[in-house]
Amino acid sequence: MKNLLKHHETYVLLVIIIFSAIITVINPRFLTLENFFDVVKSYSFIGILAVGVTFVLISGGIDISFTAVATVAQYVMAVMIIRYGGNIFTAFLLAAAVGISLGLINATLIYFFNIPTIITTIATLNIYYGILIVISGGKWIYALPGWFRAFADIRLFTLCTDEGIKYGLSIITSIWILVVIIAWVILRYTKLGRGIYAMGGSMNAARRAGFNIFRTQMFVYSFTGLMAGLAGLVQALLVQTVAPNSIVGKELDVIAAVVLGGASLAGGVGTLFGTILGVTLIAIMSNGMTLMRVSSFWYNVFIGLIIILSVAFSAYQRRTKAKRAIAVEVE
Amino acid sequence: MADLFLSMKSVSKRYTGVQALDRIDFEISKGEIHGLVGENGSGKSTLIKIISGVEQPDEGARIEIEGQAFKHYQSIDSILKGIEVIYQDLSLFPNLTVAENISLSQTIASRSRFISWRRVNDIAERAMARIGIQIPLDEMVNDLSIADQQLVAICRALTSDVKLLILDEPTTALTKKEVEALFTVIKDLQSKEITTLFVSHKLNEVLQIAERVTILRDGKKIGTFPSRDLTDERLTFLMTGEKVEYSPYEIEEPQGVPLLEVRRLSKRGNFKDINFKLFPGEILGITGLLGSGRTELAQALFGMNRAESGDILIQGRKITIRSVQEAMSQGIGYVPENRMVQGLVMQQSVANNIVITILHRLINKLKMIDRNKKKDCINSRIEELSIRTPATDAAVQTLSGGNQQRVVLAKWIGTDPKIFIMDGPTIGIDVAAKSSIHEIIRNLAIQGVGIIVISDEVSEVFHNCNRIMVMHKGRIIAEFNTSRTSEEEIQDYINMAS
Amino acid sequence: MFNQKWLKVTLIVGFIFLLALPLFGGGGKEVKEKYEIVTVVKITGIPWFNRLEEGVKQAATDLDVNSYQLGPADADPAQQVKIVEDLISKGVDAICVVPNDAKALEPAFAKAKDKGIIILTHESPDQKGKDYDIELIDNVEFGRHHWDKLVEFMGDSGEYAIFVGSLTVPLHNLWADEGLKWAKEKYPNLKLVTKRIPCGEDQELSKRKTMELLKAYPNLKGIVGFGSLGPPGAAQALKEKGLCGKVTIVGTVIPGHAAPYLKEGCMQWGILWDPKDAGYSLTWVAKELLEGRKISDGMQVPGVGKVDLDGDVIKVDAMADITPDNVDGFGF
Repeated sequence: MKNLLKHHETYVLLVIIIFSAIITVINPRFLTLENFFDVVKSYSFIGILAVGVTFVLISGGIDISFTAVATVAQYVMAVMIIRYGGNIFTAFLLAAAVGISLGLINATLIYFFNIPTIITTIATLNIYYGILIVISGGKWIYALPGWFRAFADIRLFTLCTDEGIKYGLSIITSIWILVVIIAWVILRYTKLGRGIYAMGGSMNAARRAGFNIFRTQMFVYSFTGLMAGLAGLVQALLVQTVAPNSIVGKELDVIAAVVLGGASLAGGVGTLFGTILGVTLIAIMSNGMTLMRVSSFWYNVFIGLIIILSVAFSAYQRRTKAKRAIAVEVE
Repeated sequence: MADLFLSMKSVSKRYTGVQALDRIDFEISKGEIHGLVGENGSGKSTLIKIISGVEQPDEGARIEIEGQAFKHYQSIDSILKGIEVIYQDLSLFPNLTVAENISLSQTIASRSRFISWRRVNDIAERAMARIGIQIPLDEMVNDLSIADQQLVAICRALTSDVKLLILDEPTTALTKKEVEALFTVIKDLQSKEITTLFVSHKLNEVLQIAERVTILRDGKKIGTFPSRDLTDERLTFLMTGEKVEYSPYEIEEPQGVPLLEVRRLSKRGNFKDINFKLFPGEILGITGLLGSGRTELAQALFGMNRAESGDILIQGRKITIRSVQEAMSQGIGYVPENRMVQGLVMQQSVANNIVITILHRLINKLKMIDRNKKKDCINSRIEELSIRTPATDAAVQTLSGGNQQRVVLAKWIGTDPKIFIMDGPTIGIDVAAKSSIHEIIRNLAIQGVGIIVISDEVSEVFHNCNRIMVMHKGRIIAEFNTSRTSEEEIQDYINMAS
Repeated sequence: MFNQKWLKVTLIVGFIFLLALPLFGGGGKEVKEKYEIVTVVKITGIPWFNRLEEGVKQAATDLDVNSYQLGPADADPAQQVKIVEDLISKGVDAICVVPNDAKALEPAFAKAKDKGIIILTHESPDQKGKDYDIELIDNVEFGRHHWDKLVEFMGDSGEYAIFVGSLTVPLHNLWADEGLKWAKEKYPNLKLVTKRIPCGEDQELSKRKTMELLKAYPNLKGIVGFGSLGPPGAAQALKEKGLCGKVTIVGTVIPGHAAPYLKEGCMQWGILWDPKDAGYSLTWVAKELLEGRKISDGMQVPGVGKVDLDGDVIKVDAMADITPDNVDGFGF
């Protein structure tokens, strides 16, 4: 119990539970499997981006360019499958390849020029997005192939509500789940993953201990690129429209979700479980607001309040701990 | 003579313009605890770097380890020979658990790409068992005390087959008790035939733990002596080449209105029922173990940790101190325990750090900072305190510890404080630099400033204060007039209480 | 060494040449006999303004003028003002603007007037400092039309919701205001379930919001969407939930985008004007004014419609309904 209280995640989970209870009392349809599957599916795009961001934050860096990477990957993928055809695997390969390549460019710039990651990736965000807009002219793409549409509609299993509305575990959601599992194994059970934590905890110590900083950094940024590429694909699957201006601008939402989940902007700290909770909290906030029939005018106010509430919980806990540490045993 | 573990002959190292090491012969016997002392710049760190293979010596050096001679001695050789260095910053990962930190070298060395958490815990448990300590395996290193972090670093060294453990300034941030615990561990390692090279500037500790002590000065070896033949004074003399005279600080019995008076000052969980007076020209020492409430009391006087009850009087007038600004306006200056965090803006220049407290005095009619005034002020401080800095615009972090501390003092002296509180004024500073800081403190007192020196080194307060108070568990348990007591008596009092 | 020297010489010569270029370029003035009419849009690279540009380009050939379109890379008022100011110092003949921020442009417009440059605006009828504003729809009529269409499909009673691009897009909110007034008067049994939702310019968000609305208000019968991504998002949500046709979706859309949803019956009716017509009309009016002709009631903008003059606002009724049958005929 005492151990649980040490983790930031516990507090976010607590906020989620309290908040879910309130929503359910007001609208019981919140706590239905149908709503659950719908929400998880809608947030798979943000969720996959968040996995990538978690990696960079743990490694002690930051990536702002991931939305541009997602956009470019999505656009290139869409253009190619429309022009040359293909199937869902080519779509995956294309999005992943573009994402990894752009991520590698980020990593190379950061490693060799030793520029702060935030500056580098703000620059590459503009470069990637700018080049895409110049080449594409900002044209939207709606005419995606039929198989692309069909793939998005696949459910691994289907359930039915009393009113006869079908729902279930979408293939899109399972991409997210798969990504999370792989990422979790990497972070928790591989040398590489522990190297990312070590690097974020203390770059110098990691170097002295014999971690290959170059390789780890390359991996982190190309992995974030890969996640962005996959997220771009997933977003295209979700809305069946590729609009270059629809993803860029969501950087801060994603970073906020990850930080809400306990990752530190200073590096070294963060877990995938926390990230999932962070995304969940953001998701049920938005979902719950509508379900509680709160006027949209109040959305932003509530979102801000709940973010503060969940951060305040663990900040307060940390402060009392610090207080206890300096306290003197007075007789 | 016991077998030699390490033997180095005629080791020199020249960096551009500096002869860091000059034909050093250095030997460590198997299983001994060897002390290495020297001031900053004496070549200690260069020697460590050469032993660990990070730096290569100049032509002509001969290095033998366990009888094996090396032509080109590299870090890989030192690792294979079981030499482990624990640096002052410990090189731990604050965000990882105890178990992971300890087993890290093994994890990196292992061929598998995957981590077995059972193996990680096994390695950590075995290492801790070897020196008989227990720290929760899943605790974050960040949450540990510095002493425990030190033990974790030692355990990590033990996971590889360590034969020579080099500890670089291991006791800087430890309390007396923790130092004792560390010494027990080192002695225990000795019984397991692990050799230790103990590098420190705390001479009494070196003398206590080491069997032999090697002294370096200006890149030259002064000699290696059995520690039973050495005393503090003699060691200081050998290190600095100067005789440091300790003359007690004595003043006439003060009379009249005290500069500062504290009556029944209390704060729950911090300190209780504190009463004392401070007169102009006095240097009042407060000593006690870490966690005795001494720092909390100092911070209360400086508005950083407001007391709950009791009175503070300045020149007989009752005042309340709610903030640092109020404390400063009452003429109180404060040198914090941790100058890195609280005392200096490390990335800023020496000049900017010096004037930071007195910017409002440098403002001209246009409400802009008067550059000439600023320059004058900075130069006079640098001269007055003989701060050695390459330039006034050099970043403070590039200076040595002693010079950093002088910058902190300069910063406060500029405000013309009436009362000066110094918490650990010579932590992490060389012997020679230490005495010059003490000199500055005395001069201030002679000018009529009332000074409170807080330190856990009894000898420091004993040699520099006219009065000493001992704190324990938030209370003042004893007060001594320095001229009527001895270092031993004070030390006994502290030991008795704990 | 030699190479470097030559490089320098080449650079210097090249530079001098560039500086002198305007002197040689005297001949360029002859081309300038064509009127230079520039359209400055809110933002480049989105379909709406890409389509508008087609009108500008068509006008260039049809009317034999030098007309082209510019715009900032994102909808930034300051950048737009900068572009307008650059055009003023360049000395073009007419500037047509689709303002990001009406107020921010006023000083620049005043400057243009001083230099005798004609200023036209679009989607900004109350703009100060313009010569004329051109509207392709009657905003009141446009708002009402959505409600009429909504009622046509869902009946004149029941619950419905409104999407707007954001709570600060003037036109969307104006249409919503007008529509709500109209509904109060004419369809009193319609019930708006919640205040307007700002999601209409993000398809993913519109889809999510629609799903949530369906759960929060199980009796929801219709959605009016302003902002061209709102209705497609809503339609997608219905499709996924198998509710196509059970909830009515009407709103502003881009025909090419909405086509599949209209045809599948997941969306019932789109309403729009063709931005190409706007681009064409702006250029046409500018040329008329430059040639000294007056704009008067009843004039015909070729291929667009009849002018209805209201002070300095030129209305050309070009509202277009988009239905499953005609959606493929728009060409954008």
